[in-house]
Amino acid sequence: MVEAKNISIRYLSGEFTDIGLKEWTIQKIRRERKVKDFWAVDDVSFRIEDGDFMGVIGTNGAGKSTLLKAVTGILRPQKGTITAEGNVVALLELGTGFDGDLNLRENIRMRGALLGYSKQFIEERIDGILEFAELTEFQWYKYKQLSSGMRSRLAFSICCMVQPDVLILDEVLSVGDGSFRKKSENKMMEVIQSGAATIFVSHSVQQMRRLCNKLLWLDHGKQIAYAQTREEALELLRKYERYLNARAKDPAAKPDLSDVPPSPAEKNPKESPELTRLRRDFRNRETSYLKYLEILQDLVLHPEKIGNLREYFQSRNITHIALYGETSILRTIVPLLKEAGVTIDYVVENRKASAYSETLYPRSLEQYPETQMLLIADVRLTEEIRKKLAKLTKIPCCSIQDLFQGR
Amino acid sequence: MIKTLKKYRYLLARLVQRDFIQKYKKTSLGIIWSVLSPLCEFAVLMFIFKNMFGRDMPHFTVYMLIGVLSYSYYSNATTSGMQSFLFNAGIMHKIKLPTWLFPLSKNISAAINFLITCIIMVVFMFIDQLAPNLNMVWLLYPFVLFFFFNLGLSLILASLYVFFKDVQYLYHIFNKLLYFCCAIFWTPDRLSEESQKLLMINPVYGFIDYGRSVILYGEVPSMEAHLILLGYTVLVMLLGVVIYRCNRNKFIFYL
Repeated sequence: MVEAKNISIRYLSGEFTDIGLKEWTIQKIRRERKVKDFWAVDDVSFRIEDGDFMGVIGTNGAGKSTLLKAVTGILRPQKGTITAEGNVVALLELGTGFDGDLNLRENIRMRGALLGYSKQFIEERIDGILEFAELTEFQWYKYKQLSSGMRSRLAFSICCMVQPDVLILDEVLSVGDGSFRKKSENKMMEVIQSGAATIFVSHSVQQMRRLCNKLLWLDHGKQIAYAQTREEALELLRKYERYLNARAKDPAAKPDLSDVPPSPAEKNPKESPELTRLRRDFRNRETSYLKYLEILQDLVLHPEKIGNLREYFQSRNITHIALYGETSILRTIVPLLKEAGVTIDYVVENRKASAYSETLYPRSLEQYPETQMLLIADVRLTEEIRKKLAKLTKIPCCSIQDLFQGR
Repeated sequence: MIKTLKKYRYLLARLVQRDFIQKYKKTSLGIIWSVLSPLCEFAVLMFIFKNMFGRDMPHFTVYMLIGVLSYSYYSNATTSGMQSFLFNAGIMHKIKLPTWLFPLSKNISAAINFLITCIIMVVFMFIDQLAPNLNMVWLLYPFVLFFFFNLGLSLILASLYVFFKDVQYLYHIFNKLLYFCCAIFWTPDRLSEESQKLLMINPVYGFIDYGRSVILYGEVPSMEAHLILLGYTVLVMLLGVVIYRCNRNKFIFYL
């Protein structure tokens, strides 16, 4: 969670470092010292929760990077407050903290140490990092002997080893050449999907359109607009694009927030925004998800089918259920179930989708004697896991596929 | 603070390691220079001053060595500490970490370096037939204080240096002056009583004097000397912490 309230950041000019001690003293004595203020960020507010993906847009010098520095804690705003909960990790620039004369392993250790990790934590991951960067055979080379592509691959891989709660990206979503580019973007998506709140600065409107559910538009440090839902964000992106086009013709163009007619393609979207989000969430997963995706799409697009669900529960006399599964699936399914008239007693979120960890198994269902069924929202549910869960919770367990197929 | 130190102890170790690697990279003698360079300086001083001042003094070699080594520790630690923020500006702009780690790491490097150079002293003590005595355990006291004294001074200087680059020249001149006020190659007993008292104002001399009286004469200095050193250290450290804390949020705008 990150919350910024009315933050402003000022850079000074005309200070003694610029004008020299003599001039500074004279001005100070004569009480005519002039300091020109430059507000790089001026009265900006936003709030993001876990799982949010906030884009920050604006032309060069709009204050985007300065804002990110404030969120990271490198800069302290002169006005306003900023609070960030959890482990904040910023990928502001990939190349910081490397020493050309050290070999790759040493550089990984140094960089990891700069990020505040312990020796043990780094040693455990060092081989994985080299492997991911496809640089294992170069591990004893000096950093300066690497090509620039290799350098960015190394830097990126180090940053991926972290599991942040808040991830801050400055134009860094992928690096390297064709194949590695894809791989690195997938990896970054994995980190983002693991439930981190993400703040992303980019000049790519396309990437923004694909990813963000919140959008902050800055211009000359001022907050032009802040979209808090995906629909608003998409609308704002259209306005931003119009502004960019206007600016290309006339550099003095001002941001314009009047309505933009949606282009015909966007007017009749082939798929719902929810589905787009799901598609994003499920990229890089097994193909079995696609089947599952279609079921959810069907439900989201045709709310009348909720009736089937209602029938399913009523015929089995089920009124109280518990949920267990991945965050991204649960986000979609919870409103649908509520619509279908069942009470959800409690939800166990399995944030890290990759870890089907036993410690996350729900055990404390005794507190909810009314719960009749455990609904498991994960397509990788095997019979073995289902049995284990049923034994642990002592109530019937049902997967979402079964639910939709009326089994 | 202890918690931060614990979290970043690995970084601290790496920073110290980096200091040593960078210092001696591409030199064929490597870390030997740690010993060799003060030794050369010492040889020059010996050549010039042994005949001028030390004629009637026993163990003049060790007497001078204590001064040379302590002074160069002080000078190395504070000068490198002073520049530590500026040298790491790139990191400070991109990664959030407690910035006081930089002067601290420089001071640790300098302290380790100092301990290495102390090997020379042991050798010369042997040559000079100066037997080690039990009171040398007391040397730990000025060493620990000296470390924190240098650290405090580094914090003050480093904070100022961010704002005024002139500090490095002023400090360089100040250090030159201090060099002659530390009684490194002369003995204070030639001075008048008042001048000797005046000399005690110089904390660096205080540390050197402590070392000399333990190593050369096996005498633990008076309670007064202990308190003076402690007072200086606490004062400088306190000042350093206050100046650093008041300004740390502004550094980034000036780096």
